Amino acid sequence: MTRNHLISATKANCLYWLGRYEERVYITLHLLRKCYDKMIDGELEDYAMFWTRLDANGVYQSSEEFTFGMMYDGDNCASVMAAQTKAMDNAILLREDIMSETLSYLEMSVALMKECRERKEMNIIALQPIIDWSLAFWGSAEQRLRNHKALYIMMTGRNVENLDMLLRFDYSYERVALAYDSLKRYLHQIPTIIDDHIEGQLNHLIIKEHFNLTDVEYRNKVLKFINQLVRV
Amino acid sequence: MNIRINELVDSCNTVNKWMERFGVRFGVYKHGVFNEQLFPFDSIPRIISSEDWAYLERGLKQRVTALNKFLWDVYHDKRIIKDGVVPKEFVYSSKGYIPECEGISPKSGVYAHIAGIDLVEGKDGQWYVLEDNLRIPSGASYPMIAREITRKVSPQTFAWNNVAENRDYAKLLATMMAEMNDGRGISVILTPGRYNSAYFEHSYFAEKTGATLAYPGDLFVEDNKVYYAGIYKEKTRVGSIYRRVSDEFMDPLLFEASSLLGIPNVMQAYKAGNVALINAIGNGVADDKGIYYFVPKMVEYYLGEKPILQNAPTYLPYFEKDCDYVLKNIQRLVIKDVSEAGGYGVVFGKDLSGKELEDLTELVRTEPRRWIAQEVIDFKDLEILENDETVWHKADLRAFVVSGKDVQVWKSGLTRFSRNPDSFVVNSSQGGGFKDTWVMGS
Amino acid sequence: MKRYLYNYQTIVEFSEPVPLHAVMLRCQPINNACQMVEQEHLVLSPDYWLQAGQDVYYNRILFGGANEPHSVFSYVSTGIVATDTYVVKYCGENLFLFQQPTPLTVISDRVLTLRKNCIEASYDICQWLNENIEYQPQATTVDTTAAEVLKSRQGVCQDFAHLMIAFCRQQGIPARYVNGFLEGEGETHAWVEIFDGYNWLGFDPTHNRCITDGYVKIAHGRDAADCPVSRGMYTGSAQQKTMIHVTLHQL
Repeated sequence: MTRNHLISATKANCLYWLGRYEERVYITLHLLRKCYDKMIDGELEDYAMFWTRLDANGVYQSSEEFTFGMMYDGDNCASVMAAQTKAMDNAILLREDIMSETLSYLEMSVALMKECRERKEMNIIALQPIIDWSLAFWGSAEQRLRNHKALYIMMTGRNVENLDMLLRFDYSYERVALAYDSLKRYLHQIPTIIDDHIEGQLNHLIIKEHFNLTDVEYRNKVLKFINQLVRV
Repeated sequence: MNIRINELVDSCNTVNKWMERFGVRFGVYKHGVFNEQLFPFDSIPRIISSEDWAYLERGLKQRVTALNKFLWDVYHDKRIIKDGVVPKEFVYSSKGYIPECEGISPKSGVYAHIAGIDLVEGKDGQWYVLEDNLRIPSGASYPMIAREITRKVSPQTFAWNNVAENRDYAKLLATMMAEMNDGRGISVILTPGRYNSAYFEHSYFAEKTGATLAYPGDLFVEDNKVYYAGIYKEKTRVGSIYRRVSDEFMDPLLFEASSLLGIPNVMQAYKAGNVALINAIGNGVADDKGIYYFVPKMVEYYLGEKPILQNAPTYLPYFEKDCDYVLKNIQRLVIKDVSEAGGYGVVFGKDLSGKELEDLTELVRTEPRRWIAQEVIDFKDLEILENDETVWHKADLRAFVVSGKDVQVWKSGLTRFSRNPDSFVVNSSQGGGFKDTWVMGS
Repeated sequence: MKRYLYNYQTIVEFSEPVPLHAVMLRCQPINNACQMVEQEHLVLSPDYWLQAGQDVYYNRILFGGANEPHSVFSYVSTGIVATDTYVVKYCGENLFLFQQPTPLTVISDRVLTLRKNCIEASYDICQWLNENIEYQPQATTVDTTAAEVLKSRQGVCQDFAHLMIAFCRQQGIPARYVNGFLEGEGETHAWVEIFDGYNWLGFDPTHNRCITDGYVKIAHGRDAADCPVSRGMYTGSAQQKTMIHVTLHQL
């Protein structure tokens, strides 16, 4: 059987977005844990920062709504449920590349999310397996993807999402620069899908002298470019 | 035969949990909404002794060989029609007959590379062929992955019982695809898309055979050759396509013009021998319910042999003698509308009221060509686990025959059981479940 | 014998470049006992790959496409044809196929009583169509069936031909759909050939006549869907505009 080394346009798109959504699941759970922890005994000011950034559309009014919705509300595109389902929607089209074993981690994650939603599980600790499976997913994918380009596209998606989140949550320049560097390492393995012009812009923006996330115009520009960097 | 399956029976729930983990589903459209459901698995296997299997295997090879010869004949010399064995009306007015296939000569004379022959075991122990499926028979992936999982969950069951290996189906497919490919390029599985009922199978076969899963937009024809499109103008030649798209949607320039599932000009590339299509186009003429009646005659005509496998006793009202018999006995026969598919156009005389019987009798009398009648076979029931009990349901067996350079019969099959214990209609899209099929070693 | 110059020009324009365009054309007259192509030329869009072939009815086809973005596709088929009186020889084709109704040519009612002789019956059909169906360009589409035409009583040459074929098949007369050129200027024309037991004879139901000359045949099939003069498929959301011009002029 002659091996096919090409990746179709649809597949490239699925790989990139699988990377992004699965990373979004992981990071959102991480941030939610921090936020819920602050909500135990803290004042509104302590967790407002998390709340406003996670619930950027201002959907939720009460702590209960926020807690439940950010985990399980499939209609809220920022929720863990939405991200996990979208990751699965992309992954299912990639069974032959990532293999059934890798896909199974996402199947189990979606099944667990649905089950917890059914029984209105308010404690995020019940979602620990989702984090475990997410890491298992990455390990398994890396093992099984025989086409390296496909792996790099997925890792690119993962790193774009990571960088996007760091920017939205006002992380330091050092963290952001490191993440951008990490992203570029994967990007340069698949040069045909980078928008060179936008990369140039970002290189100019993500340097110590210019870095200033309190400047709304700067912040929006960087976020915009990050999201347009990869053409799939 | 000393079979031990207690451990397997006890692990039925575990096995189904693993099925869920691997996403073993099929999709059903109900009122326009697509619903994917897990295919319920019953861990009690259907067991076929090695003697029974030897008989079935010989019969299946013979039947599929004859069917492939029939297809070649229909699209070339038509000797079987000229010699009066099959009336031309049954061939040319069959919906599956595609004039554009005339004169096309697929490699090695194989049209049905993958044949799914539906069999049933009668209570009298006799096996009957219910139906031939030569277009896009589906279902082999389910027993394949069931075996994978049951061996993991209950290894001791397989250590104790000598069951023939069935996880080699992908290898059979891959070998056949490579043979048909002839080194021209890559092999692909063409799927209509994510929302097709058998999508799990399409992607699982791609995973296990190493073929590429292609969506209609990924393939195009240039200079009469088929290519797979990579991002940014890359392309690679395609040598064979295992296509899970129906004939009429395959080429919008020749067949259904509105089809978005096909590849424009693929038929020209196919005609020129630049790409292999698995299965070939035009097979519907041989698995037409009306042609079924003639298959045993095909075995005699092309192979000069007595048919090993039996059809269910069948009558064609087209022939006067059969018509008289059918009209007299209609209340205990099963009547099938030759134009329907999927089990909906099947009527049991015993289920009809007096008026309905009269109407049907009249229809048979005035449109004899449209109907085929069969004796109702009392299927042997199989044990099914329901909660903690066992019940008995009707089940059939779809055997898969893969033909490339040689004809190979897969040492297993999809055993499907019906939703209701008394229902004779067994079909995935109407509910029910499946079992693994064990062919025992000698 | 008569000689004709034919010129068949098609220009397809897209409102924006389409990334992929695939085509199948039947644009060249056939050669048979009563029609001989003496000279022919094809002018085709560059950058399209195109190959010549034959369909199952032995009609000449050109198929191919372009995989680079294009906004225009055009072709000109031109030449000189010599014709004798329109009688198409039987070449062993499967008559059964032309006696079976197809979805485009199936009607359920028996509307006509026809004379027994198939040639007379064909005249009767043409006469009936002439009296009962109105030639109306806007009323139908390429998918309109004979049954629909029978109901609406309006159509163009394709519809007249389909309805005539439906009537013939009801009567057991093998009949087939023909595409080609009619003497004059305009678009391609459709008519019918019926089998009289020995040969195929031409009838033009739109003009209520039996064909002797002035017609140049391109292709035939069971119905229009079998032998369209052009079929194309493209990806993207562009709008397509097609301009066709046919000239058939006696020399």
